[in-house]
Amino acid sequence: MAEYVILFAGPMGAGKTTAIRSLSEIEVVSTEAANSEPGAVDKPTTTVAMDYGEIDLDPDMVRLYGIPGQERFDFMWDILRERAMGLIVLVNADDPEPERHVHEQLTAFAELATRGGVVVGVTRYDIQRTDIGDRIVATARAVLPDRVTPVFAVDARDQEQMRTLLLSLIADIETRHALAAAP
Amino acid sequence: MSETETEVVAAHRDPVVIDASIRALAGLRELLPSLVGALLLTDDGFEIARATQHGGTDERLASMASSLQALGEAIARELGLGDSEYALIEAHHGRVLLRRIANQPIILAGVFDDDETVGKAISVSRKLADELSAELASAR
Ligand SMILES: Nc1nc2c(ncn2[C@@H]2O[C@H](COP(=O)(O)OP(=O)(O)OP(=O)(O)O)[C@@H](O)[C@H]2O)c(=O)[nH]1
Ligand SMILES: [Mg+2]
Repeated sequence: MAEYVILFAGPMGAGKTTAIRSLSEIEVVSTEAANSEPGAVDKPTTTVAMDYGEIDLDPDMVRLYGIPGQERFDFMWDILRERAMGLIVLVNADDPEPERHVHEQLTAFAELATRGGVVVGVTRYDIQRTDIGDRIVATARAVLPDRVTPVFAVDARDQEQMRTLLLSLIADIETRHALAAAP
Repeated sequence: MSETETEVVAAHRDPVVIDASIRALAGLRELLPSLVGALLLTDDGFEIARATQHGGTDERLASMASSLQALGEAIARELGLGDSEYALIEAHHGRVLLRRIANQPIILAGVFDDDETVGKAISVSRKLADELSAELASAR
């Protein structure tokens, strides 16, 4: 049995809180506050400290941490990064600059992505159909040239899709560990 | 987004809230000489007003106070303890007190040096928070 600590990163409105709520089997610990700037990203609340959830992927136990997307809370990124073993970067397809966000998040968490594992999920495809898939793949390759970073289209509200994304991340982490341990 | 009369203006952009906040912080400074700095901030960490005594409150205090307040409230909720009243950090060279303004998406963060007694910081900040809450309830 292994225990995994997974970090959800990505810009405000990407769906980090939503994804953890979709996945968690315990009641999620949330730190939502009223969003004072709905002109920037139009949603009622925003995460100001973290989200926390758990899922039992027998035999593995997975702890899910969501960070606040807004940069003024980046001290929380530093706190949560320490304990994480894998990274899920979410970005919403209807964001004005999805590639910039992916670039920034992968750069900020490059050490974690390299030490553990990383996958990227592009959300809200149903709202904005775009061809950003290839561009996100290219962005990820530019930041992390030494590894393949899988990119998926996902709906953060959908438990099955989020499970698939999470399982592929855990497979990635396990493969890396196995390769590192091999003589 | 266009501003209409029915729209709720965020606290950190509402002149009524800003004005009341500035006055409240001035009152706090008068009653608590050991106050190093104080901030009123929105739940999501935007500064509404600040009062600094000996120069300098960390730029990031508003975001950090917002995170800590939310975590404190999450813990109280998790344990079924009801609303949390204030959170206090005791450090070697001072203390930080966080307190919600009742029924408002607003938090008070006060930084005190170690001359002040804890009791006084708590009681004076409670009085200020109650008064500001009452004033905003009638104004907003
Ligand atoms: N239509 C649609 N909506 C989605 C999809 N994925 C997420 N959402 C919605 O997008 C919003 C995402 O908001 P949050 O989960 O709060 O975003 P967040 O990343 O936690 O944002 P911050 O905490 O503010 O950084 C929610 O309203 C979700 O219901 C999707 O694939 N399609
Ligand atoms: Mg969130």
